[in-house]
Amino acid sequence: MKRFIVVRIVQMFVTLILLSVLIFSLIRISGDPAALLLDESATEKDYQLLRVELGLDEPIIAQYFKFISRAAVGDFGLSTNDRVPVLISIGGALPNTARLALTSLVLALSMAVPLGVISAVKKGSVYDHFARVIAGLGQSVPTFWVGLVLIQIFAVNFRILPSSGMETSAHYILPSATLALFMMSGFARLLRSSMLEVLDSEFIKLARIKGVSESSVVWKHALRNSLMSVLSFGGMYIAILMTGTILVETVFAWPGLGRLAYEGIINQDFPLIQGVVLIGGVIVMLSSLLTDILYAYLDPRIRFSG
Amino acid sequence: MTQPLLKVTDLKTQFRTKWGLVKAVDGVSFHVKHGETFGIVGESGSGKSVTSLSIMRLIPQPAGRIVSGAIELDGLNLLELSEKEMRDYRGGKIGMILQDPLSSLNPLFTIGSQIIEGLRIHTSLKGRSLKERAIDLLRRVHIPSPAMRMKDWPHLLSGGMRQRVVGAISISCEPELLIADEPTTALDATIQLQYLNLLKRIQKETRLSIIFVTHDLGAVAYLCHRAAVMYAGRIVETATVKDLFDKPAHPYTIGLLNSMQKVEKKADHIESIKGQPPNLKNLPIGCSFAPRCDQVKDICKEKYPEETELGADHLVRCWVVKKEAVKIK
Amino acid sequence: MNKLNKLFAALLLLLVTMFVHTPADAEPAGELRVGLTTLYNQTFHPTTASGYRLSYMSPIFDFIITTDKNGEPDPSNSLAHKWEVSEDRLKWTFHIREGVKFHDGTSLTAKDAKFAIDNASSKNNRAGRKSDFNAFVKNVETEGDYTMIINLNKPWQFILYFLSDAIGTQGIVFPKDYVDKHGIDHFMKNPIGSGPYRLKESVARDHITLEAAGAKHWRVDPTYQTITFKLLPESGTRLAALKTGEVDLVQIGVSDVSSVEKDGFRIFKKKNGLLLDLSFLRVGDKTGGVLNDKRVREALIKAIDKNAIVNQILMGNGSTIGTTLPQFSWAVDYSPFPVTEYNPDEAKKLLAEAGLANGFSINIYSFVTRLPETKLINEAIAGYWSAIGVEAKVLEMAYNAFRPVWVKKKEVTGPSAFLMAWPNRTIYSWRGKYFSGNPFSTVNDPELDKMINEVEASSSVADYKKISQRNMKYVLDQSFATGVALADDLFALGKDVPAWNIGRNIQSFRIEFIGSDE
Ligand SMILES: Nc1ncnc2c1ncn2[C@@H]1O[C@H](COP(=O)(O)OP(=O)(O)OP(=O)(O)O)[C@@H](O)[C@H]1O
Ligand code: SF4
Ligand SMILES: [Mg+2]
Repeated sequence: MKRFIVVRIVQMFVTLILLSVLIFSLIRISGDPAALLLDESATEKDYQLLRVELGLDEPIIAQYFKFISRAAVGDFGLSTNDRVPVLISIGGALPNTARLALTSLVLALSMAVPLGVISAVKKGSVYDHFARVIAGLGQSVPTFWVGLVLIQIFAVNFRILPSSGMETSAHYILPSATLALFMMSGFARLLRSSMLEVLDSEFIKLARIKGVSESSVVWKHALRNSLMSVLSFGGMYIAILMTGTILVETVFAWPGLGRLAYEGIINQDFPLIQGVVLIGGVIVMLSSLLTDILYAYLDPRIRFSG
Repeated sequence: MTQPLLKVTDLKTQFRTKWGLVKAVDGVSFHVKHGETFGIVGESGSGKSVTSLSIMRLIPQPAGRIVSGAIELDGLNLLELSEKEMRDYRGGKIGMILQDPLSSLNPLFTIGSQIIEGLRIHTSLKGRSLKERAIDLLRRVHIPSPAMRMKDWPHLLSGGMRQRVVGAISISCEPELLIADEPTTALDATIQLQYLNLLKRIQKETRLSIIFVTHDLGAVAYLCHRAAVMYAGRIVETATVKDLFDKPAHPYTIGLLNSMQKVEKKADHIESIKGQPPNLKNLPIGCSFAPRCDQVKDICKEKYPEETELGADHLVRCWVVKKEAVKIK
Repeated sequence: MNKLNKLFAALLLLLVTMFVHTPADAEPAGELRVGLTTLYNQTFHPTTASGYRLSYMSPIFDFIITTDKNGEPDPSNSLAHKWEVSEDRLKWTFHIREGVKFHDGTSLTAKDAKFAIDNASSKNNRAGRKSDFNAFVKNVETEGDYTMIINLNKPWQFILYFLSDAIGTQGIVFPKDYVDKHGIDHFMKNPIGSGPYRLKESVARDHITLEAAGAKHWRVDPTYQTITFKLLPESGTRLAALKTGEVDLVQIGVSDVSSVEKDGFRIFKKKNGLLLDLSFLRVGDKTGGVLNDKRVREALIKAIDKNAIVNQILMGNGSTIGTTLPQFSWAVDYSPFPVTEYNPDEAKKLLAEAGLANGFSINIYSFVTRLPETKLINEAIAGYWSAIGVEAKVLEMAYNAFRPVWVKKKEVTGPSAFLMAWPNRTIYSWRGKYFSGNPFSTVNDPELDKMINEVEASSSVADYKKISQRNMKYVLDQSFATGVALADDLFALGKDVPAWNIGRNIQSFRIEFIGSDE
């Protein structure tokens, strides 16, 4: 286990370095913040001065080493757009994203578990078809559109929920429902297929042979095993969750990391983009490491593998 | 004449599949006496497991269905019980051991909790005595340091050990009938023998009845009092083990015995019964063995053979045998 | 019946509000919530970021010069209530209004006004126009507490506009002592101004809340107790928030008009807020190719049906135009230039004369800044051009990807054009857009360079206008560029929001004037 964690952390560092090189060079290939910040009456000399000021005149390798050595001690510099330290902007946005992501995750699981389990147990029934249609919808209908439809129904037509922003807990309902719907589909499908597999296994037969009631067979013996296989895809789901959050943040004007990244790109704010991507990367990797550790801890086959 | 413990009459179990109706068990009748070990032998796909699961009423739903027949335990037809009443029989009066020891235990629960789970359902034991009973069961199936094993996870045990645990679970609530569906196929030879001995001892100690399902005629000879030979969802011959080996009547039984002896004599080539195993979706009208039978007559292809009684407890379904029996009489 | 009832109720309500709501001496009350497409970066220092932040900064601050609703300097509303200029037009003396206080109670004086101009000239100016300040301003002096003197290197006709709310945030006066004491970084987040409202709260990427700084203000009395600017980037969400009453006033697009009107909201326009202007890239350069032939440029312009664009794409929310450069359609009144006629036959003839009867291919760099319909218009233009045999390829991209091409840091791949939606404004730098070799210049023409030097040497606004007029005629005769249309900035108003004078400033909607207009 210790070895596993150490290996993973080393892998994480390598990935981060690669990610930093990638993002650093990609944004420099694709854009020029000096061109964007330059005002329209500027002369060629103004342009050159601005490049010096932004540190873009140095050789790209030197720029990179400057950036990475500062980033290593947590200094991502000032945003070129508003001169606010990147870390402060991220610190403000991250908790909002985390709260949204967590509520959605809980919501998604609490919808997906009954949906996936019952549709596996009642395979081929009307309920199963219904549940699969719902799950299919959640994945094929664009999240963007789902968000707008929910706003139309609950905020505009019924006036029972706010449409955007994040002042009160009521503000969480629509965005997290939207994101949860998107996540739920994947969970429900995975859960259904792994439940089908588990329900067909010998140990489920043994439980039935022992006279264990059907509900206990399903909710205790089978579900626990199926949840493990959902958890084993944890890392992937965290990445999906992050992507979903970015979309949902735009629709619901949610002041999170996704919007921050979007602004960074629109403004060609190199330090901000670099910071968001790297810190976002660290978070995704750390949380997927954590789910892997959790998985290993919960599954005795890994925990007690000597 | 005392009543048998289990009496199965004209059992028919079918599966609806994409490819059509599969008559997995098609009119099977047999009985198991108190304290008797009854073997069921047959090729793969002949319907042995479906017969066993039908007795447990655990045919996979909704594809499978017991179409007709009766399964009487001590005179009570199990097919007429409600699902809830049937649950008391499963793991209670009827125990069962499945074929695959590697995957029969739930990987996320300890050995102990999986034994105790059944005890909780079927006995009135509580707390410490539950645990003591479980440890005692492990001891009875020869698990070393049983108290420590209680807290172990299934994956830490060898295949043989796991099969013993499954055995312990199956007898945990003192069943009257134990169904062992090929309990040793997945184990290697020495462990197979140990396990058979274990079953034999348990049977002696508890005087329960066992249905022993197998491919292996040798195991039948070693363990059983009587046995039935299944072919294509039907029983073609039932006899005491002695009669079965000394006076096999059905051409299929004879074929089985021949191929077994060839194995034992270590012949250069194993001669199994020629021809393809039957296709249950498309059985011939007459005797299902006809396409492979070397004694086949015209009538065999037209009518399914009636049952012929060759002696006490010796039943066989074959036109040729019937003719000869009539001649002798 | 129902309709009649509604009408009656509305009339009654109107009457009641007329009596109850007497703007003259009402206390600030209630809340105004405004939904904006972007809050920019929510820093409040006038020159550390874009001037587009005026939408929420103009209520917090006062300007050295404030323009009236027609865009002309209005001393009665300005911090500089009086000004004089020397004979040689190199020395400007501004008399600063006495008794104006910042929100922390300290007095606003001439040194704060000087501080504003020093900031605009500093290398850290990100609000724009730094080059102009550097080119014209020699130094700034103060005389006593209420007199500021600006010495120029050369006459600057538009000095008053550059110190005003007409072009951005550079004319905002903010407290020097406070900034010196707490630092720029502190001021960016905790600004203090002298305007009718002060900052109450700013939550990054969510909202900005202002509150009335007092019941009275020399420029305009605050109507509302609080004004909240909510960030609503997605147009569907923005409209939903209006319909639910979560906001009272939102920016909308042309395509939203009918749905908003159907729901009973009023549409309010900043008439001609945007100028859509089509320029060719690298005219006069080697890479200009066929575009270096005047007949080709003329043909391309003549092929465009501007009327159809205004009526069918902008759905009538705008008008056609002949000139390019925003200043010609905005505050300064130039005599109008005729709209170029739509004449595809003539266009074909011109191409044939240029030896291009079989056409050629051209790229249209297409990006969206302020007007979502830009994309559709670009496609329409591509269609018009292919009708005269020119194969036009629309290159969709983000604005920030186009900028390096525009400033000549990335080469064009052949003859190219682009459509830009400019916020309409009083002044636009001739030099920036047309002087050979400048980063943003689209033309390389020694004749025009000479003319630009002349317009810059003009000594008065009147002079400037005259020479500008001549220059514009030249630009249009040469078909260097053409204005395609003027588009209105559109707003939807919630039921309680009165219409107000939105002014003619870039990006400032004069929101502090809502409810208190004459
Ligand atoms: N769930 C099911 N669905 C469809 N057909 C089934 C199902 N279970 C069993 N069958 C069919 O029933 C027939 C009998 O199967 P069964 O498992 O009883 O054979 P078996 O004699 O136990 O063979 P083996 O020795 O391989 O265990 C087979 O043809 C099989 O295809
Ligand atoms: S009935 Fe005929 S075919 Fe069938 S086993 Fe007997 S002899 Fe062979
Ligand atoms: Mg079987």
